[in-house]
Amino acid sequence: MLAHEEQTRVKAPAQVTAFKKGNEMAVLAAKQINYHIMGYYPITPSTEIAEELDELYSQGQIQTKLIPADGEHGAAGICFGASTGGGRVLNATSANGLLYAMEQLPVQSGTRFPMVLNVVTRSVSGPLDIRGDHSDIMMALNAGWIILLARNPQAVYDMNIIAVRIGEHPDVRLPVIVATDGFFTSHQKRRVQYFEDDQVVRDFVGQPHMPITSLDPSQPVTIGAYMNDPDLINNKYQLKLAMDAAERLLPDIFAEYGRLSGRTYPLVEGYRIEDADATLFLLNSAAEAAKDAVDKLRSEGHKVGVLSPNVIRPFPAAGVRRRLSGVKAVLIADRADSYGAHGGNMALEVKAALKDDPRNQTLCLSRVYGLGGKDFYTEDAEQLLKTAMAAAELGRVEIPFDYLGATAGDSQVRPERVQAPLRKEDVSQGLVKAEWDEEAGKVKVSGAGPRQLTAIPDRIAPGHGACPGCGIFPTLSQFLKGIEGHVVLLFHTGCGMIVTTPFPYSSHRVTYIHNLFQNGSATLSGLVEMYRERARRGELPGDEITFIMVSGDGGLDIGMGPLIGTALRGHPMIVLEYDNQGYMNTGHQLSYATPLGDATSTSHPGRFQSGKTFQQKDTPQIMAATHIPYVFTSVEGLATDLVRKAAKAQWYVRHGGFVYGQTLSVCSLNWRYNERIGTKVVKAAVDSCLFPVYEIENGKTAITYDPEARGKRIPVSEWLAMTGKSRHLLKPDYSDTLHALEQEVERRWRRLKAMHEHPLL
Amino acid sequence: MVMSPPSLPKTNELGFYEMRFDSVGGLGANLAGQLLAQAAVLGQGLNGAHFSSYGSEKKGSPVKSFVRLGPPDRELRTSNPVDRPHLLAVFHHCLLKVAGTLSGLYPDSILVVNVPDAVDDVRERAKLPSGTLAVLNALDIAVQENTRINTAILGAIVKASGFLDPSAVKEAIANSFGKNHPDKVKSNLKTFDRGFNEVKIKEFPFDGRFEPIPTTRYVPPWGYANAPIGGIIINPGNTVLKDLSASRQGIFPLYHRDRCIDCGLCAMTCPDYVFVWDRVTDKGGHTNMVLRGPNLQYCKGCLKCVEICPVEALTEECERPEFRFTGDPQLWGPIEALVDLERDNEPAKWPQEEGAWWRRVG
Ligand SMILES: Cc1ncc(C[n+]2csc(CCOP(=O)(O)OP(=O)(O)O)c2C)c(N)n1
Ligand code: SF4
Ligand code: SF4
Ligand code: SF4
Ligand SMILES: [Mg+2]
Repeated sequence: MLAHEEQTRVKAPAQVTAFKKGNEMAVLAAKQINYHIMGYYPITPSTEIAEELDELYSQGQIQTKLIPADGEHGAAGICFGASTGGGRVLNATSANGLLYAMEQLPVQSGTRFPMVLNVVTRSVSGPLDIRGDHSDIMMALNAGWIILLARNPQAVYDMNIIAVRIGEHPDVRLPVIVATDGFFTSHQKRRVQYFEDDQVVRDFVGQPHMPITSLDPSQPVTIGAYMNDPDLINNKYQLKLAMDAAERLLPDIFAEYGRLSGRTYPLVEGYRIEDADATLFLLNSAAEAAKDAVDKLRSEGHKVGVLSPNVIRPFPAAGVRRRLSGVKAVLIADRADSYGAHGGNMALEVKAALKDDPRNQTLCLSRVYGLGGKDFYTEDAEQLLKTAMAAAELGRVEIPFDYLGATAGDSQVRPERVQAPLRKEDVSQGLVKAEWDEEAGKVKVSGAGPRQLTAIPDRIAPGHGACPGCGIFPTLSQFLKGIEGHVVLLFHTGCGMIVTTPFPYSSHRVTYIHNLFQNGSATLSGLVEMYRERARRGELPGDEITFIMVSGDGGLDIGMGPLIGTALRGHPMIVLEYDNQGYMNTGHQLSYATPLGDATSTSHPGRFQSGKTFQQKDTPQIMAATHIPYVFTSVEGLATDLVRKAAKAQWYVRHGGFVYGQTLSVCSLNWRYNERIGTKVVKAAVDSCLFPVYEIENGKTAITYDPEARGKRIPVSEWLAMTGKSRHLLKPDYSDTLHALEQEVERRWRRLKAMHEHPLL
Repeated sequence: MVMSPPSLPKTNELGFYEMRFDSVGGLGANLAGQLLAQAAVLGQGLNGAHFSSYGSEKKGSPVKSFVRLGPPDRELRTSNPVDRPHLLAVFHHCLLKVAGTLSGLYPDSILVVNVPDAVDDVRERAKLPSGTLAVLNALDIAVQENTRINTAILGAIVKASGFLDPSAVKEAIANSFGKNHPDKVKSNLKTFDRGFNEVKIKEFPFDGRFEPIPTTRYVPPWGYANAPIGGIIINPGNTVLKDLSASRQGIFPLYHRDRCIDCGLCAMTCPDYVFVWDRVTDKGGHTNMVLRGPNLQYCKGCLKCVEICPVEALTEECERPEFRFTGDPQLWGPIEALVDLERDNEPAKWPQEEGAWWRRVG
């Protein structure tokens, strides 16, 4: 035995011992596999995978082409398209990202194109929670994908490599998910090993062999035919057979990988389970924690163990049945509930597996734990084991299903209003006036200066958690001072939302709603119409509330479709975008509004990439093409410009129109400049014409602040030099990018000037 | 060179030596924990883990960094935060006042504090019933060496621990800075050495002067029995209860009423809605808005107002002697979001550092 081990060790390829977290291990595996394409969209806690791969790309360490999608649905589409082309494809996501991509998952599996998706598990909204539980991955159980579990950072690496092999196996040909516990594994550094030579991994996964591809004109194929009954059931039966094949083949692949690496993974792992009376069934990091509890109880003489699968699709039912055959009681703990099902999904599946053995007498208990990332301590595992032991001893189950770790709260605590609701008269002081000017054919606004405006109370209270110097809040304050009367706000997901509403706190003095940033416009349009309909029926006084949606620039990438739909339908409401040129809330990934060449965490400048690779999105012009009555842009620094545009926006809304406005808003954290000069930084963007300030009223464009006419125009490079995100563009290495940016800024500015001058443009 | 792994001076019932660094966002506790754990694992051959807690807010929000070390053959399974540290490092002495900072200390734990005061005084302030207390003035060292306090504190931790190898940690520091800031390697190694050499360590046997420290875990006041359903907040606007003065990095805008012309520009530019105005009627019967001043409870010290004021009625001042932690830390809200200090390996002077660490939520 020893001699044999010695022998295999001699043959085994060299490995490096390192100290890395789960996400880093996913990156390492991806680097060694050298995928062709990665389509992705940022979402915590999976984002680091794309970020680090982008950095490697910028340094020339990988050739993987990374495609930043407009949302997870788009990312899944990119991956599907790419995978039909015969190369290797990677994606990574979490929580609502997985759900937003969900519709594409059966397309991928039903057409049988393999790829790998890292799901770094996180609690699904709402309420929004960024920490780890399994409510996302449990939703993917029926998608037709193989699901491998990675219980620790080492397994993240190993499973990512194994995923390619099993998914591409000719008898399988299915896409594969590798599910890792968000934060517990993705963000925890541990001692790990990886193959020193990338070639070892490349040899193990082999050359991609895709018998059918969309890129072989000599073999034209039709992918995605329309298929009703009686055919579809046969397609699905093929998928079922592929899952069966995967279950059959996985042990061999695991064994082969074990010979190579010294690390073996059974389909379902039993820890001290052989003679156990009571066991737990747990997934991933919690199963690891429970092993320590098992050791402790064993040392006290109790026969306990833990069972934990390394694969849940295919579900290793036979192994579960076999391992539990002699166990008196098993407690299946799920990190997600299947509401109303009297147990989490794993509980249901373990019970179903046992039912297939008519002799099985194992008692089953189901518990839900650790939702929203609540820690699962060794003591928690001990408590659960004791619950299972009690059932084993008693010979029956007292409480079949329950939650572990929900707390009742302090009965002495009552929510107390600390701020009186704003009265209509407080916020309707008539300081800014908007009136229709018949002669000019547009709305004319006159109004107060900063001093008078201080009389209008802010609708957002102090105490929010934004970074010092954040541009979102002066922008919102100024805009809202131009709005009279009652307001209902809807915020898209993003910094503005996160920092104003950390439960049980909220900075919003007026009614506020959050919906995820792909869907806020639709949500608010529904509310606007409910308001109008209830007012029409006499249930509410009409004409009193102004509805305003606030979104970041990122929210108008993923939420562009619903925004255009809302504009085309023309609901009377305002959409205000604070454009800070990136996904700041998730750590500064590029958005489509990020200027060409900017350094972000998904557009690293380096020898092989000069920052963001495509020009910034022109959202005001996209919105102008929906022919809504009023589109505007502004910044916080132009004294009362923003206030007046708000008043004008409200006039149009009161007259039945939809309004879109965009403001450039500094991000003091990620733009990297001295936070005290924020106002100067946005003004410089305006003076460089990178962010022109103008309005389009009933189709007529008017530049409202013309830096040329005022003799204030500065070169784009001057603005680029102000922030750390763009300063590198002044180096000679990046002169092509700088030139392309300057030219595009100039072209858009000239075009805008022409529109300003010509009434029909 | 991996030497034979040291034996751990103490371990918990699972066989681990555990450390917790209690800090404030921006002081580099995450990087310190990472370098230390990496040195212990890759340099000294121990098994180990490192991770950090994540808060929803930026500068000034509490951050905890955790290191768990075990013998090389001890499998590491738990991924939970460290509740009972054998070594607790407090990166800013103001945290001593914060409830729960010392939670979970054993009677013989080591407490390392970055503080300018003498070790006996610090014991009084911390109300430490017993254990080893190690104090150093990391801020002074960092300012003198133009580095950051975390490297100096690392030196003190290594010395106080008695088993961590300074050369392994120095190697980790050199590697970490060597990649992007090779010019900073020397000064950081010196900072480490100074922390190592200048830390004052004293043992305090239990003498009954202070109560033993309990181990506490945060339980939210709102639970399933009393929280409104749907996660709805029925008393919005309640962030006014928070005290954000701790977000300031030692600087604040001082208001000079005599120079102010009540132009309103500061109010327009302030991200934190700090300025309080009064409606005043003058002798002629005209009412107008008059600035009372900034309510520093919410001011984060960005100095945008100082920059914009046309008449220098607001000036930049240093808060002396230190951060002010005036509020109840619970008012910061529960930890439901994440601060990733991972990218914060930029050495900078503290407290006036340019806030450049990365935060990711949602
Ligand atoms: C479906 C989905 N995908 C991704 C995310 C993660 N996410 C939350 S906010 C955000 C970025 C928002 O960017 P932006 O709208 O520009 O606002 P900012 O953070 O810059 O204020 C992302 C990617 C999510 N919450 N839901
Ligand atoms: S990350 Fe940027 S946008 Fe977000 S709160 Fe901080 S400064 Fe504001
Ligand atoms: S900007 Fe200066 S002068 Fe103007 S109101 Fe503020 S403190 Fe007074
Ligand atoms: S320093 Fe910043 S937060 Fe403080 S009052 Fe001035 S602008 Fe507001
Ligand atoms: Mg943004």
